Amino acid sequence: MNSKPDIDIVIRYLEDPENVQHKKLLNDWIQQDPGNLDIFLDMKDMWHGDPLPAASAFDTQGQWQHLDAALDKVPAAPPATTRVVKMQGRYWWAAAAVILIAGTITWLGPGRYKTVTTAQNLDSLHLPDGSTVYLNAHTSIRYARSFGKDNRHIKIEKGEAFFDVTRNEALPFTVDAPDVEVRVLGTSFNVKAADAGVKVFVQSGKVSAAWKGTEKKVILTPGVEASLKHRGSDINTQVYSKNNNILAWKTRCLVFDDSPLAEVAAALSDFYNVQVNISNGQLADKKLLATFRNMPLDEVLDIMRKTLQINISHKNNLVDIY
Amino acid sequence: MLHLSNEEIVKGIRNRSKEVFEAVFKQFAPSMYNIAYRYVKDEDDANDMVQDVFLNLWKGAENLDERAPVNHYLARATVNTCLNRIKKEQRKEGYVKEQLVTASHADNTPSQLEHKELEAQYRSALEKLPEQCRRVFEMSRLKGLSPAEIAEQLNISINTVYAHLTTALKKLRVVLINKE
Repeated sequence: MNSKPDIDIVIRYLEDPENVQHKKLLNDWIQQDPGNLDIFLDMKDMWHGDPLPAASAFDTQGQWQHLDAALDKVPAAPPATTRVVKMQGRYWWAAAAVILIAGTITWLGPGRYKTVTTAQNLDSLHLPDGSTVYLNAHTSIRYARSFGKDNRHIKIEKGEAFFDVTRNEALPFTVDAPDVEVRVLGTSFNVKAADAGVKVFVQSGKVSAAWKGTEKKVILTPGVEASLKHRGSDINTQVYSKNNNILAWKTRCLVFDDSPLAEVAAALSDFYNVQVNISNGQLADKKLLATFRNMPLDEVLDIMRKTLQINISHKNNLVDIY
Repeated sequence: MLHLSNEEIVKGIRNRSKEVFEAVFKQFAPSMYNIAYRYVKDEDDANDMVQDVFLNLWKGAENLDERAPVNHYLARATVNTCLNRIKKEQRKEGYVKEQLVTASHADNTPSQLEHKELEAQYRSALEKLPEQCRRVFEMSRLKGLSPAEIAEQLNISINTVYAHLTTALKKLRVVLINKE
C-alpha cells in the first residue's frame, strides 16, 4: 500500500488532517500534477459543506436537466420483499440498519426508568437534554424518566457507548459504569464496560473518571484513554497521538497507519467480534497502512493477505494469521 | 437554494424528493465537475462522471447513511469514480491511442480576442485580492511552487497557504462568472 498516492489521499487527509503520514502523502500527490492542488481545494471546501463557486465551464442548469430526465428513467424501487433477498454483499450494512430498528428494545417500565438494549445492531438516541448516545452492539443503558430535569444520570449496564453531551454547567452529565463513575459538563467521549474493566476515551472536552466511593479519579483530555480494570484500584492512562480505532465501531471505519500486526489483530477482533490469533511470532513486526471503510471481514483479510503477503484463515469466529 | 439540515437532506434523498435532489446537485455538482475534470482532463468524461455519481445515489437512495453529511458521501463517490474511470481508461488505452492522433487536431481553442478579454478580467480580479493572498496565489500559479514550498518561503503554515488559495479561487471564480 506504499505505492504512489492517488486522489483518495485527499479524502484520507480530510478525514484525519492531523495525521502526519497523510499530510506528507498529500503534499507528494499535489506535486504530481498541476491540477491536483485545485482538486484538493475544491474537495476541501466541499467536504466542509461550503463548496467553491462554479467554474464557468460547468453548465449547472443544463446538466441538472440532463440528470432530471435520466432519473425519471430509473425504474421504481422493487417491493421490499425482493429487496431483502438482494441485500447481500455490499449492502450487508443496509441489512444491519434494518435489524437496528427491529433489534433495539426500549423498555418503558415498570417504574421510573427507561432501558435501551441493542443486540447485534448499533443504535443512537437523543436524550431529553439534547445529548446523543450511540450504542455499540450488545449494549444496555438505563436512565430515569426525569433525565434532563433534575439530573443527567445515565447507567451503562454492559457494552460500549459514545456520548456527545450538550453543555450544561448547572447539571453535570454522569455515566455510571460498573464500579466507575464518569462525570462531564459538555463533551464527547466513549465508555466501554467489558468483563475486564471499564475504558473511557475522550474525543473532545474534559472528563473525569473515578472509582465509585473513593477519592481516586483521573481527569481526561482529548486523545487520552483511561482503563480501570475490574477488581482493581489503579487507573492507567494512555495517550493516543494518532488514530487508534477506539471509535471505529461508531465511525464504521478502521484506519491503520503503519500499525503493527498485533494492534491490527486487536482492532479487527473488536470490530468484527471474532477471535484473532497470530500464530507465527515472526509476523509481529509486519505493519499495515490501510483504511477499511465499512468493509466485510473477508474483504479486509484478503487485502491483508495480498499487501502483507501473509496467510490468513477464517473459520466461524476464528481468524488465524500465520 | 433550499436551506436544509443534513438530516432533512438525507430524508429527502431517501424519499427520492426531486426538489432536494436538485438543491444538492446545484450546490455540489460544480465542484465535483471541477474535481473530475482536473483528474481525467476531459470535459465530456467529467460531466458523465458527475451524472453517474448522482444517478447511483438516486438508485441506492434508501441506503444513504443519515449520520454522515451528504457532502462527504459525494466527495468519496467522486473520488471512487475518478479511480475507477482511470482504471478503465488504462485498459482501453491501447485501442484509443490511434483515434486520439486524428481527433486532437480538432480546433476547440478560444479565439485570440476572447482569450485576451478573459486575461484582462482575470488580471483586474487578481489585483483586487489582499496582498498576501495574491502573493500566495501567484507563487502557486505563476511560479508553480507547491503549497509546502510557499509555506516555507513565507514562513506561514501550510493551512494558511490553503486558506489563501481558497479565498483567491472564490473571488476569481465569482468575478469571471459575473462577467460572462
